[in-house]
Amino acid sequence: MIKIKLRFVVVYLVLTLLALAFLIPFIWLFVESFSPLNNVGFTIPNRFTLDPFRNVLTNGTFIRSIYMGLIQSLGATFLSVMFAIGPAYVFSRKSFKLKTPLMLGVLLLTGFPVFSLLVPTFIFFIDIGLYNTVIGVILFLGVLNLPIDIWIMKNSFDQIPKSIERASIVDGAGTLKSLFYVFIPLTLPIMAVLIILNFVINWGNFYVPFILLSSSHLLPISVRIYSFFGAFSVRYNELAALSIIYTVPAVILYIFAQKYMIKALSGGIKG
Amino acid sequence: MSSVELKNINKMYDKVTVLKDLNLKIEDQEFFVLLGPSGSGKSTTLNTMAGLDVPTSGNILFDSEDVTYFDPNKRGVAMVFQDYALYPHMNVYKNMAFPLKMKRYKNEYIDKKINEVANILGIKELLKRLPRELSGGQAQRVALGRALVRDPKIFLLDEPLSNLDAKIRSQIRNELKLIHSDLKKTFVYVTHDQQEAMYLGDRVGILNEGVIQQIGTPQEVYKHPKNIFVAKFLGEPEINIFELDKNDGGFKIGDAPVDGSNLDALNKLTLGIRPENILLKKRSEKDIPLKIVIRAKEFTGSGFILIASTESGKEIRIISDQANMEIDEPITAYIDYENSILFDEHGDSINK
Repeated sequence: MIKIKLRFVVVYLVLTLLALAFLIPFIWLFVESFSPLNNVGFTIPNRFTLDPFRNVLTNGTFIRSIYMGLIQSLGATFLSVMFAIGPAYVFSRKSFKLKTPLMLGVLLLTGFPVFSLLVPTFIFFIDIGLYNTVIGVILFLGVLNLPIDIWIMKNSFDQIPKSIERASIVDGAGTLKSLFYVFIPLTLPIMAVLIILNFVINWGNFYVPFILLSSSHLLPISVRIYSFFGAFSVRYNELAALSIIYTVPAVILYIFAQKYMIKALSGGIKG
Repeated sequence: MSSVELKNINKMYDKVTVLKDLNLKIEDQEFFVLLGPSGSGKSTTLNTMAGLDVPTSGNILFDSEDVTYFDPNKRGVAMVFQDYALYPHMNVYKNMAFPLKMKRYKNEYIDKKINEVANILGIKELLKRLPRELSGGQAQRVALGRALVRDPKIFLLDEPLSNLDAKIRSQIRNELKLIHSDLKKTFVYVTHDQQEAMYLGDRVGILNEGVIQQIGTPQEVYKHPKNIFVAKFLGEPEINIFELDKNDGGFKIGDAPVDGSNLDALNKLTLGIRPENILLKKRSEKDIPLKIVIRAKEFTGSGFILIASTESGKEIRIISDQANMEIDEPITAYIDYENSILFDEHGDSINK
């Protein structure tokens, strides 16, 4: 009995410590974002204030960086999900020459360290005039997620029974209509999950906009947070406030897509 | 008005031949059943008619119009699948509306048509339900409804009853037959169930390994099978087969000779006799006596199936309505020679 209890205690002690290790930065962030400027380090401030949020949210530069971040990540998400549907359908349903090598190629690309392409892309973008443009960032981010999107979507298309596809074709739907009325609606849960994952990855991406953009009015929030450290003194409370704002869109999306997430992760399409 | 004709159809997947030189003519308004074991190519045949598969060579004619390379939606066929293939995200109404929507019919027409068909099939209360809320029988009715609303020229049914339990199966089977006689359209029905095939078909085509074995009315293929495969595939319990070797210039079962005018040239003879054609009392001089021991009785409701063994240890089945048979007692049964079927060494049937 005692032995079991001891194990129980040890396990929970370790888990609690681990949880604390992860939670402390968040707690600090939260406390700091409501603190006056003079509160530095792990101390409880003498008073709480909304000033950091007010300062950040009234500052045009920061507002603009949030806006830029949204445009760039949503644009890229839209791009990769849109362009993943076609290849995913073809890989899932058609047979053609070189299908297996092409699919393996896509799979390989999902693990490819794309950042190694960032410098060549930088030079290429300068040459064709995409450097320092929002479109350039959207294109690069969009392509970044495309392979994994194709792969996940292909797998979800694979789960749609062949007879349902055949029924739609005999019922008079061509490939496009079948895709639009049957395949996409049936994989909406997975689509939703993909959109969230893509958005969160893009929203959190630092290096791509950092390298491909130079004008400060185009910088998204991920890069803007970093720019706090460039000044002589760091305004930690405002940094914390902006960081919290930075996490909000991802949280909102998760809440909205919760229903689909559960469906998607607990077992696909039922015929 | 629509007849279907398949001319010299060959179908290969990679290097595997699925259909070999298949010729078939299905008459207008006929209920035609394609019967075969799994892997015999019957579903592939149906898919080539639907346009879901293109034959490697050969032609498909609908009313003498060549449709071999037509898209499925240009053919005016409707199809019902074994697993119902309802669209899981649409309710019953939308499922039935789908083929009409694809053809851009007006909403009022769609509404009228769906109500009409729902009434015929008795699924009016189900219109708002999702497929996952339906039982198997209901789901297959809806799938049937989705085919009916289109007024197709030809109905293609791919083992539609296989997933249903026995009671609903016979119920929907009856309805199918009634629908067919009401609509007077061409039905092509694929199944591996020989009983279903004989109940439903105006004519039955038996397929094995991509080759048509025989086409005929259920009575024809049951009573006069062209080869051993057809004889064995039809009938429950299975036909009794006696393989005979030539001894002393003739064929014998036990001590009794098997006579026939065409037997002299043969070295091997196979005699098939259906369980209902083995008699327990002699009826004619030609009947062949057979000493047997009854091993077991199975009660079928209207009679018995007797499982017996012959002197040589061969197990045979007899259908009989006599209840007073003693188990383990030797008796003499009689093979009704008139109704027996003879096959040559290739397994093809021959005349007596």
